[in-house]
Amino acid sequence: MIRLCRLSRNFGPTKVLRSIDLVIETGSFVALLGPSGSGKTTLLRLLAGLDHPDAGSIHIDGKPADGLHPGERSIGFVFKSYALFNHMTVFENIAFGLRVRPRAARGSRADTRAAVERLLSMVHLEGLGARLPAQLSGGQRQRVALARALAVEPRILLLDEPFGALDRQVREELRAWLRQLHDQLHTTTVFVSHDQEEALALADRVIVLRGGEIVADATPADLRGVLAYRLPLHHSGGVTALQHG
Amino acid sequence: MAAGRAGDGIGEPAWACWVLVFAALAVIGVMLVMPLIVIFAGALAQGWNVAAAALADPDAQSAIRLTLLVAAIVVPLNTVFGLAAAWCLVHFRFPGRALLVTLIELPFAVSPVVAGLLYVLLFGLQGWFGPFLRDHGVPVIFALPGIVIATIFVTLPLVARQVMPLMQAQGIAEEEAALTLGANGWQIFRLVTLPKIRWALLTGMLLCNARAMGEFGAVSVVSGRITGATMTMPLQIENLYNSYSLPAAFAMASLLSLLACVTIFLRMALEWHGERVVARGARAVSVQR
Repeated sequence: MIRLCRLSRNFGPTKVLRSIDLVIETGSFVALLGPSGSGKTTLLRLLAGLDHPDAGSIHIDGKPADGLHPGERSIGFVFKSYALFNHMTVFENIAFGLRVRPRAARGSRADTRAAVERLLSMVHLEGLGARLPAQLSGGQRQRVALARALAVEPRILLLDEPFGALDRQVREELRAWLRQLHDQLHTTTVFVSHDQEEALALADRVIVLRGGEIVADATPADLRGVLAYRLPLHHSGGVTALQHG
Repeated sequence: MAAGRAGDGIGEPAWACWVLVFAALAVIGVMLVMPLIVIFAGALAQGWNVAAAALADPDAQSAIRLTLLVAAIVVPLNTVFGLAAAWCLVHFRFPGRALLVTLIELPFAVSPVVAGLLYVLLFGLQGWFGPFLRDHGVPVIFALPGIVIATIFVTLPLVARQVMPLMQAQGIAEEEAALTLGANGWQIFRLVTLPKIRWALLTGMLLCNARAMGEFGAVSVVSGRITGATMTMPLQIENLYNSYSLPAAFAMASLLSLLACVTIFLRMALEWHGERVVARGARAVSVQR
């Protein structure tokens, strides 16, 4: 379980996150939805430990995460532009998290190979281990990024606009597949999206952020109803921004 | 390559292209290539043996050794410094960051002679730290440490200026990815950052090396020009020239030029290799799509 308490983050005078309170249950699949500048990516980076809050706290499974290095949080992070290591092959990219472990915790070479092969087949990239990222399509790169994040067996999977750069057809394929993967691995998954349709289709719970605050927190079914009848976001211009942003 | 594309694209006539190419080659020929040829010709004017004897002279040998030693000390130090500076500037936001960027370029703006004088004022016997250094038996001015310090100052920006823009352009997403995968700082640097910047880094190191071997102004002020002890190759060349030992001066100058040429050719080879790697990547992508 992830518990955020009065979490705030400022970039200079800009309040990017304003006192966020949030509990994310273990095993849930949560979407952070919002227009650009709403603070969703910042929230994800705070969870990962890539950024630090100005006020408030994050507890992961009851333990305060303040002092924890990103590598100690049992997270897997998939970056917006994938951030693959371009000079390494697909195999080396996926093996990275296993190879940088301290010697005592590192498996044998054969273990690493087996783990990477297993991940490659999980993301349907069998036989492409020797390719460089530049030799892959966008959808393939996305799946390498996911396999790389999953290699360290994270309990929490964080995805920053995972399908943002992909065309529609690939995006819809990957969506279904990501959902499947989540159910199969029992991770807690948090993904950031500015695409309302995607968030509603994929997540168990959608948290709508706007101006650094949570303005809605509901299941897709409830949120659909709310959006259809009352359009509460419309008054603040949220819906337009969400649909076209 | 320019001539091969003469006249296409922007629509200027082919003859204009050829005139420009010819003019550029003429300037390069007269300003850069001819002097080089003159130096080698001057060195060999009285035959191989005279040139070889001039280089075998103990004082000449001492100058060559000193120059190579200084370069061998300065290049690694400036490499480490340049990397550290670039890393700081790209990874951290701190007060005075803009000032640091400007300060790194200071050595390009300050005349090397002034830099040399500055170190004499700091470390010379009448300088701020002079008495302290003398009491502890550490000679700086008119000795190897002074030459090294002056050379470091002059070549300080070379590595940092090569590496910084590249690191800035590439951002830190890959480093962050490595961080989330549990890598420590050293692993991130060695496995992720270094491979990304290696060609720029090597180019910077080669330029630094060329400049370190060739530096005259700053070194001439701090070295004291003690023949056989603190004379570097450029100083020795001037000395020989002023004492009318022209073949010896040209022989030494040829050797220094040769070292510079090796550096330039190494750089060219690296760039050529780098471009090939990029081209291969691009080809692979275009095949995919």
